[in-house]
Amino acid sequence: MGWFSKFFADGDSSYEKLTPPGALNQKLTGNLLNDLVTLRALCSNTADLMVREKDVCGVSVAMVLCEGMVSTSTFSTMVGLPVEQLVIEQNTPQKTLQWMRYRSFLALDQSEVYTYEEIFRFIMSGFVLILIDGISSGIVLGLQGFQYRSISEPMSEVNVRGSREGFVEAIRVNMSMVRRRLKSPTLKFELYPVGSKSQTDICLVYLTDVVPQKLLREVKYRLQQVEIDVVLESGYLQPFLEHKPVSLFTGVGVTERPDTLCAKINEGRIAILVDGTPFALLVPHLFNEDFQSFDDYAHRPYYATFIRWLKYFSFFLTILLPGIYVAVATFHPELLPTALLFNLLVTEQSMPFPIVIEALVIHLLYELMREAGLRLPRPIGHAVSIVGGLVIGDAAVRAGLIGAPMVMVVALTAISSFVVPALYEPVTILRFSFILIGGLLGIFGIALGLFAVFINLCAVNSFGVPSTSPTTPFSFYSMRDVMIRIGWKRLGKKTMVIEDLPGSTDQ
Amino acid sequence: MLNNTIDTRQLFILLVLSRIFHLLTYVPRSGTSVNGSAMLLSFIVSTGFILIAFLPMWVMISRRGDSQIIDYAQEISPALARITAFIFGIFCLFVAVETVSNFIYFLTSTVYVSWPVFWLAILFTVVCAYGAAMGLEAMARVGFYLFIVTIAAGIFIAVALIPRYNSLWLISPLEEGVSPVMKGAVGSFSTTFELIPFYLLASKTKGSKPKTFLLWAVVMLLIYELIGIMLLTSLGDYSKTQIFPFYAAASVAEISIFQRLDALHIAVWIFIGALKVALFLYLASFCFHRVSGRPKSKLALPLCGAAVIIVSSALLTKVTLFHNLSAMLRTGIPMVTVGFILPLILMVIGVFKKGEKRHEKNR
Repeated sequence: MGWFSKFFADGDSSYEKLTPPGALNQKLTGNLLNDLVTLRALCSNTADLMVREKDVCGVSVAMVLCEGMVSTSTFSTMVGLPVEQLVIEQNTPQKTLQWMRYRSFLALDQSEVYTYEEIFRFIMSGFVLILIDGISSGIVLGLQGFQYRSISEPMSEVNVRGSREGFVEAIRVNMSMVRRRLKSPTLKFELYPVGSKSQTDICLVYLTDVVPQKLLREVKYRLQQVEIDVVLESGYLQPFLEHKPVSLFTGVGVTERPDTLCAKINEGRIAILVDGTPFALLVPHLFNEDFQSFDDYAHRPYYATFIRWLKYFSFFLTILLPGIYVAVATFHPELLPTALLFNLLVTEQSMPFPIVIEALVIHLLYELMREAGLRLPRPIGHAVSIVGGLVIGDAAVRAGLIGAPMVMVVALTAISSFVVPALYEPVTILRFSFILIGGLLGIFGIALGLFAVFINLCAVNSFGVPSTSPTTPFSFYSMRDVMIRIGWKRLGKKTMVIEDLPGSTDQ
Repeated sequence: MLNNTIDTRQLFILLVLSRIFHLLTYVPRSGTSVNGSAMLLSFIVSTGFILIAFLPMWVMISRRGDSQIIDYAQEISPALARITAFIFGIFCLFVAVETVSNFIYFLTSTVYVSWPVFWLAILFTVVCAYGAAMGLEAMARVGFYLFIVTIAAGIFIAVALIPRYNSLWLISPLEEGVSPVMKGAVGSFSTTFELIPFYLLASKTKGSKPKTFLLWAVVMLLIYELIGIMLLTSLGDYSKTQIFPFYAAASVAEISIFQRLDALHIAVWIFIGALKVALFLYLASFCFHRVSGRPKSKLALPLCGAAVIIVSSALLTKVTLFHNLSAMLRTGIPMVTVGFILPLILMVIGVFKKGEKRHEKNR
């Protein structure tokens, strides 16, 4: 392979030299110069690493930070000025360390570090590292000042009533939002890094007096099994928290709202915040929770109950309506009222495609437009509406490519799917599946398919809690917040605890 | 993974649905069938037979509530346990075959007349095998939803038939004598396969099994009587000429804009049939695991499923064979043998063994 290296004769290799795995575990030597050289070498002298050396009363001190991660004004006020004004007679490295650790408030969040791995994790999280010549440890000061998105309304969980605050990408800010809402000493945060390269901070959030200990152990065990280089989103961790069997329906909940998270952990669940994403995970997760929203608890009970029923109806409508329409039109036209049957016959007679193909194509087009609408830049997003609504919808009907009843079916299906946004993924797959099944096998196929879907859903246990609980296994008491939503005077008397649901088992 | 234990309420629901399936596909035969009014009395008599048949198991459960019948045989001898498991396994397979055959027979007679039998059998059995693979708990949970849907659908159809009810069709059950009543009772008892799940699932069910069985028997009697009266008074003698009278009743039922509720009947019937076959496939594979001594083997269920597909397709290809099998079933011999005589033998042997052990201890 000599010709290969000659091709890069100027000395640059097309491949980065991999840092030997043991190098990051090296400990600081105490020799400031050597330590700084090693530090620079380990990060390949990256441009955002800033090192400032200073003489503090005769002792050499170096401050290391990542550019853009530290608040310079806070640094100047909390560290720069005090160090500048420091006077220690007959100063030694130990005296300097003593002053920095125990006789000053350089930062509220302080820690000592001993290895390069720890150093990189802290300075890349916005900490300032102070190395003292002659001391084989470093001090890290939490003076983060990196830019992050301000708190705004959550995009995926919009409510009419309730808070307009949603999680942001910075984990510490999210932790503070939870703490503000649950001012209880039993609220506990546990921080862990995941991702061998990204060292992403994740935080387990739970109430120590409610959470089952076996659930906590199981969650920690599962998170320890995460072997991914880079964790950029909570979705990377989700598969590690799922249980068998493989199902369209997840046993891990997702939320962008701190109020929802607080309500869930109050029921004995565990939340997982992930740095870099506003989406928190919640375990265990029940199927009926996909039909609940924070608004339900702010509205009057009768209206909240109506909205719940509307959601259940919408769910079945969106997955079954196209399939049943295709099945009935193809195999069981006798089931339709006579007037509707004649209209349908007139429309479908002039269509060039079988009704199942028509349904598949139009639903596929709808998904294409929806996905395009998500990814398009906003200024031209409205063009998608025009193209979708007028060109594809109206023009296709006029051209005789699809029937008007099918357009109605698609419209109803699409609207219904957004009533339960948490289930959009399984609903989309199921919709297409049932269209195909209905077109090939009729009502027989749809009934069998529905049986398979339900039994798969009923087999899902999220950390020992049946996903279909409390509907089945049935708990009359817990049903007060499933099919109906009773008033807060009764709802607030006793909080449902996830561990007490029927069918829940120890891990 | 699921622990595969259920409670008595879930077992009750599973067995109610399983029994209802048979009712929905009841096939009276012109000339040889029992008249509908006599059947109303036959149901009561067959319930008595069911309770008598359960007595040996009742005694066994009273002694060891957490054991099922194969465990009880295991205490007597491992070889006897294997034989018992084999017999029950074959019987459960037989029930699955009978159910699939009945189902396909119905579909190809009324709804999908030109469809190939083999493909229908494959599709249906594969889905049922998947249900069985999901485990007992999953089936029990689905059963709850199906129970609600079935009750709602039954009430809906019953209300839709209100304009057709005519009490003139209700005649004395003993008009043709006692013989038709007893014939109907034996026929009804001979298809009460649900005794077998009670025997096999005792160790996987939490709660009082004897009370649950009693409740199940009483509730099934009520359901049978209600449905029987509904069919008789709405269809009269017309029901005797129909292959599937309940389907016929659903076809003629209409309320407001809802006509032809047979689609509802078909959907509910498919759900229930799938659950029943899944349950018996699960029990069959459970029994064969006990025979082979390999509880974690993954071969039993696919093999049971394949056997069901092949045998049911073969039966439906030769319809006379299917009818002969049904006739043999109606003699009551298979059900009496497996449902009563075998548990009785086990109970008696068990009592003797226990007496011998006590005698030896006292020495």
